[in-house]
Amino acid sequence: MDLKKLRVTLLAMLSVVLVTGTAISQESAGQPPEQIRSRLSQLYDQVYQIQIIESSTQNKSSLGSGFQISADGLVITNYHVVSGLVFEPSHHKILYVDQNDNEGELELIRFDAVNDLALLRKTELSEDEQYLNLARQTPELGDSVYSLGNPRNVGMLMVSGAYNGLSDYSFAGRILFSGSLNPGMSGGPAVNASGEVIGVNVSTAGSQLSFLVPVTKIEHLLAQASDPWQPDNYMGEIAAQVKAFQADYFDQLLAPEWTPKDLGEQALVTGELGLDTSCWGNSNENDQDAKFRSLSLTCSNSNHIFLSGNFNTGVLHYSYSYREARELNPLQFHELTGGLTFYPDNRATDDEVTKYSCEQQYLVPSQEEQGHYIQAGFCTRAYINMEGLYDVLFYRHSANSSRSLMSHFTLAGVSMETAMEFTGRFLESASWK
Amino acid sequence: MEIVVEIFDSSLRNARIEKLDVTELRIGRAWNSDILVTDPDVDAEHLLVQLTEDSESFTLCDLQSTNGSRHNKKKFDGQTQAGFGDLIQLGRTRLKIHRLHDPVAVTKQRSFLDNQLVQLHRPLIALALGASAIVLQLLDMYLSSSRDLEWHSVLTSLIGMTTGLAVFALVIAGLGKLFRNEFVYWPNLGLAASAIILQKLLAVVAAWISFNALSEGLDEFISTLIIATILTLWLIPGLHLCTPLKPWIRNTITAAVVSATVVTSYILPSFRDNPWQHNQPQLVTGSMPASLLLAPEVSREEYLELITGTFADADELAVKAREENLENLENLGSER
Repeated sequence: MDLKKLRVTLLAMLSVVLVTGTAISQESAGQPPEQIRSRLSQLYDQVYQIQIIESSTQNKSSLGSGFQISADGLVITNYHVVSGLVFEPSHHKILYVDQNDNEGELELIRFDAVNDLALLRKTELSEDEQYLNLARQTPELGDSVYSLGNPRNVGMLMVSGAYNGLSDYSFAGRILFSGSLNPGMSGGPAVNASGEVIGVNVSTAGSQLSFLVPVTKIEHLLAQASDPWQPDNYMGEIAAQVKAFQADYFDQLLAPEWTPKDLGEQALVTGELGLDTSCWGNSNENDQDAKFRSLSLTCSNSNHIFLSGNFNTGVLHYSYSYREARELNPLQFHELTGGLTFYPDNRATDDEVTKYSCEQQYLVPSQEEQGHYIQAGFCTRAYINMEGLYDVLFYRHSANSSRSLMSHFTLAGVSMETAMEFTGRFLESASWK
Repeated sequence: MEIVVEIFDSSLRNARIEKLDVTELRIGRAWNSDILVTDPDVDAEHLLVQLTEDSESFTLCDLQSTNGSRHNKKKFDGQTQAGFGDLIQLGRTRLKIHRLHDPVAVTKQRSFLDNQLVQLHRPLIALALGASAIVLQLLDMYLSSSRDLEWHSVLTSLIGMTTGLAVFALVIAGLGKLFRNEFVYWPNLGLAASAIILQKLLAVVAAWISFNALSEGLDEFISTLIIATILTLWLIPGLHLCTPLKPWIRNTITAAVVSATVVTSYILPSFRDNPWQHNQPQLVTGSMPASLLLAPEVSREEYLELITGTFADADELAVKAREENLENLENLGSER
């Protein structure tokens, strides 16, 4: 299906590679001036390599960076660095290794899956604990930012770049950093010229395009540092965080009227919904030999919440496709339009989600759709360990022997209420002119 | 006078030969028959053959048998005149009578059904069908890439059909090899019945492949009708000559298996679930269960109401999964 291919390409363009994943390694853009460099190199002692150790093999199952932020041993890293431990607390432990190869164990206090942060604490403290200071002020656009971390096993690395403000691309709020983060730098600090933490390394979307979690997101974790979570409630906490985030997100998404937009002369559809959604169009209008006419619009958000290596959520994807038979006979046209397959747009394993339960029906045609048959299909799967969260996917296909209008969406990690409200709205979002 | 009697097996390929020096012979299941036939459709005393004095022909005399006798495929009552080399059939047993000194020639005369069965024993047929399916598939890929849709729908159907037939032929070929001798005749009713059921089920699997391919191009309801017809046509000749079952029993089994398959495909949506894509739902435009063709259209409100039911279903699955996880944990705990 060309539509499916298109979607794959778009997703590939969109996907933000987490820094623990693969990323293109490049020389950093510039070197910091001498005095800054000497100041920053003093920070190296407070930046750690964070290792997640799998208990049965006693080997590391994931690797990242982290940094100390208090005298009583609090350490910040990314949630995605420690997600292995969150999902299987009894099989993992966390170690830190510092610049001088000193090792120690860390315990997980709290985490924030939506903002990709985790708060850890050293189980044993030395007499003289050094830590990094958090910046009180947000940097100005263009200010130099130095990102520190321990990529792979090559040792400490400093990457310099500029502060580019908060990205429009992310609803959760991420700093756009024009430096190139490398695998293993996840969870490391990004500091200003005076060595204060302004953000946490999190992900990269290209060689010189990286994202940082703003330091302000650390504060609410710090405020609760004295009240650690129990491992058997980790899943409940993730569920609560995703629910709260999604409630806020969809409140804003569904608040305004959705304005219809032309798709060819025949159909009206809904385009970008604001926030972090963006759409791409495609058609075969320039293809003289095409035996049918095809126009499509594919939209998605960039709000992908990482939960574990093979489980993510927060994805919204929707698309419209209009087709006209031209030289195809009804049987051929039926075959062309009757083979569109829909898949969920987030990843999840059998352990985390149920099978889909589906409902397919023919719908009563509206005034404009007389002479068409309308099929609608809806599937939902529940999150096994996070009660009240679902993935849903839906299509509505209105067609006669020569024209077809298909609309489709998938939502990941939503409550039933959100799913129903979105579906109700979406059912109306595509119509014939 | 010295004569030779050829008694054929169901395929008409192998024959048992009996040499006799008689002017009259009795054929039947009775122990004292001149030609003993172990065919349940043959009476104890079924047929009497009397040679004429000039030894140029003979008379066939049906001894009021239950299932009757045929001469050159024509049923006859009482007496009829026959020549040497003619095909004589009693029940399901076929034989020919020759003079000892006549030039020997095993006739290749076969009925249409026999031909079908014989041909399908040959793995070559299966391979040829398989090869043509591949060729068609390649052709289809080529045409699809150049967006020649006119042929695409026709070809997808053909591919499905050919693949289905190839699988079917392979199965029959395999059965033929396995039961080279037994294939001819199963006196054991239970064995014969299970062989039929096995054959039908395998054929249903083969037909299922065709079905899925067909349904891509046609409405499911129509393609089901087509498949049901193909199945019926294909399955009834199946083991036709090899079993002691009455035709109506065979047909009933066939009909039951075919209709069960067709019905199952609609009653159980899980039958269409792809086991390799556990987490992938089957949301495909145009592929609604045929049962919904007859169902009334629902309004937008009714549909939203129906959708809420899927959440309850999903919740139920989640609860079950959680309980299983707990059980597994407990089991792990007790093992340790």
